[in-house]
Amino acid sequence: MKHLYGKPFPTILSLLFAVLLCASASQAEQGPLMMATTTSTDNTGLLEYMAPLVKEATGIELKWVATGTGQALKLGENCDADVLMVHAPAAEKAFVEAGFGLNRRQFMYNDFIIIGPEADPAGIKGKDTCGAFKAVLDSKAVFVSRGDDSGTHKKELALWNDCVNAVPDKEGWYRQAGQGMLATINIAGEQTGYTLTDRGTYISYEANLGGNPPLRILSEGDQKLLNQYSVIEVNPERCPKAQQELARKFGDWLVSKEGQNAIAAFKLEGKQLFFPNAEGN
Amino acid sequence: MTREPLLRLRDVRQVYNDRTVLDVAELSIDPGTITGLSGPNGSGKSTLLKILSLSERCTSGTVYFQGRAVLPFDAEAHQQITMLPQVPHLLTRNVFNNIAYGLKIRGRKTGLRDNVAAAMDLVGLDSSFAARQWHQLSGGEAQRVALAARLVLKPLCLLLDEPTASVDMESARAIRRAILLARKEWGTTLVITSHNQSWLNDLCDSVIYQYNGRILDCSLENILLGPWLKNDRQEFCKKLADGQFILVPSPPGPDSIAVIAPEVLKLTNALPDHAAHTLTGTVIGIYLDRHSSEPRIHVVCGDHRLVANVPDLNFNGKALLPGQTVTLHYLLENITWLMK
Amino acid sequence: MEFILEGLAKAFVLLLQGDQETYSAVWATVQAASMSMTVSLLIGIPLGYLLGYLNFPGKKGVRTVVDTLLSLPTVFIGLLVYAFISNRGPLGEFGLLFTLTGIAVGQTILALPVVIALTATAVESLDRSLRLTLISLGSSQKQIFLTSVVEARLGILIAAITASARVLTEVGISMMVGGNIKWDTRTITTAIALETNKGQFASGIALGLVLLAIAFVISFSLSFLRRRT
Repeated sequence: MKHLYGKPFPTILSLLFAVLLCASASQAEQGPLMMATTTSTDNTGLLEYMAPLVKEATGIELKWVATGTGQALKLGENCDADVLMVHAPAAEKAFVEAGFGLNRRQFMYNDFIIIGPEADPAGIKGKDTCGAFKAVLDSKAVFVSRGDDSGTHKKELALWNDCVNAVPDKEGWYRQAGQGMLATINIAGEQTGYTLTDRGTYISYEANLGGNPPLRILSEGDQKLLNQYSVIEVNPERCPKAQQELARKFGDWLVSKEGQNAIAAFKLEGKQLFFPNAEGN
Repeated sequence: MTREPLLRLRDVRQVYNDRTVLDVAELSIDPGTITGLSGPNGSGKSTLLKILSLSERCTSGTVYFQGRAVLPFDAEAHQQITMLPQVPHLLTRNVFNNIAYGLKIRGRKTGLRDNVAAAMDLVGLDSSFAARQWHQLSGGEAQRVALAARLVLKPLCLLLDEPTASVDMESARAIRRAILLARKEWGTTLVITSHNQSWLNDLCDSVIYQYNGRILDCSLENILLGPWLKNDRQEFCKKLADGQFILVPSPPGPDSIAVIAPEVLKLTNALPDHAAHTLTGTVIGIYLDRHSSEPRIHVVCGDHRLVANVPDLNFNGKALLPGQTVTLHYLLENITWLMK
Repeated sequence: MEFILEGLAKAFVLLLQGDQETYSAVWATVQAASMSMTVSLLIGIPLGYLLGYLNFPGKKGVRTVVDTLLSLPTVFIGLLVYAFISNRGPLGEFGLLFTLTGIAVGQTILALPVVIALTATAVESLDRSLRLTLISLGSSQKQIFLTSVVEARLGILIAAITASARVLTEVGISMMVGGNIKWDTRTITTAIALETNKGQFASGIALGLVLLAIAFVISFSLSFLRRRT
């Protein structure tokens, strides 16, 4: 193709390439703190609220990619993030044990709730978590699962195993959506079924439907339904580009009195979503 | 002093898919001449033209331009030789830009407007045509634009493939005028193909007849092609559309070509004797032979147009007129055969 | 259903009020698309020309491969590009992940088959006598290329429009390679995905309409080009 564009072509191409490289390279040197997190922290608006506070307190510019927990952990493993904020304790522990991450610190929780149609065909209202799950299983009521390896999904699977010793994977009434939380709730709404969701997404869903959604909270408050969030630094020994000092600083702020108070002060539709529980607080 | 031929072919053969479409042992085109190339469809005229214009590589043989052996697309030679294809193909732009294209790609941009205007004038196109788009032209107008696009380059050599086939009369006239002017003004060498033999004969200095890929360098009147049949009397003949038979002596080969020179055909009244043979037909035209300035008549016998010299346009005391039925006769031994 | 009407109203508000987030997403979309379209046209048109113009052994095979690549799913491309530009991948040092340049790389892969295939078709449908005409006027191979491209301009324009449409509307690459980072790599399409995920359907519709408005402006200006040719 050289003869088509004449002699300058290879020069122009390499110049273009060089400019692009420099532009992107300069970004990579001393940049903002790259965080991989899950959709629940982003979609609720918590991170939007937190970012300026972090900047003011620590000078760190926070940038984040919100995906499912599985993908977030993978990004950490591939050294594409400096710090992780996820809610899947078992997977996180495995992550740290494998040497991908350091200094896992729990710092807040929110809770899951079981929602379902107002008519409650399986009769789970008022029951505790395992009671509710058993009731769904016995009555073969429609249950919609995230089915996407997210933190919520992992939680749900753990509960099935815990309560009835099996995941109803192949049952007809057990529908696996493979999508985000809101989409899953909508599917449950359409099919008048039950689902497990985090409280934050439910609050948004309820607000969107003008306070009168087809699905209501039927079971909540059980210890088992607690959703623990942790912050993990990506291991710089594996990932030389990981900005560990900044990640450490960020984590320090999260567990500090200031950070914890900020978390507690965050409200969605006037209701508190996340509850600080860092050690020593 | 013999001038170096402008173009020369030596032992050139062109083979497509095992079929030899062109086989020329020797062909020279002298500078400043107008050469006609005649022959039936499929005789290889277009192929010969493509090779002469250096746009196609021949299977074997050499092409010489100004004495120098050249390959197709030879940069220097290519700038001097241009060809006008049979179907005018214009670029999707207006007339002005079509004509100016050749000059622009050669970087000859000074005086562009004037050059284009002169070329348009040469082919008889009014200046109002300049802004017309390529799709707003009739067939003849398009052909003239295409010709102008080539004339504007003042080429050393211009090759034209059936330039007046399927164009209107006015365009045909304009094209002919332009061709002659080009030779007169710039000494352009021209090679023109056509299956209209009389038109070529009238326009060209010399005409080459092509048949089956081979060159027959002779005057092209009264050429009779095979195959030859035998009648009941074991004589060789060719059957005409109206049922007449042209008798010929024994042909050297099954595909031989017979020629009846115009001088050999004579008007007659009398019934033939055994050694002469006759053909009856209708006079369709009376012409002046450019070369000998003698009158000759064109007679249609069956589907063949034959030319006969007539020293005297009066026959049987009456003037010859188109539309008359006449009888021509010839002696068998006066028929010549062309080498196959 | 109401969210569609709500979205329509919101679209006007977003555009006229100069909503920063929206304009940031628009600018990100435009940047990525410009980069990818420029590169894919510069490389794709000559390649498409060669594919349409030349006859070589295996031409049919190449054409089939190119046509197959027209159906590359964007998430698939996103995944492939991620694998290469991730810090653990071979091109990790260039730091292209989560940048608009990275998105542009993926979009170029998306657009190239479109440009090549449609340009090849446009060149193939050129009259065969064009080549003879240009040769008879003394054009070099380079001039034949340039003039053929000009002659095939309508078909190539269609190629460009089709490729841009694919690039402007894709989500898979922008999401995977860009990361949907606010102010940085959040494009209109990833913003729509986010708003939908959050349940803000009206916002999703609004952003979609903004994208349509941009596409309309582009088509409108290109229609002038069409008329002039």
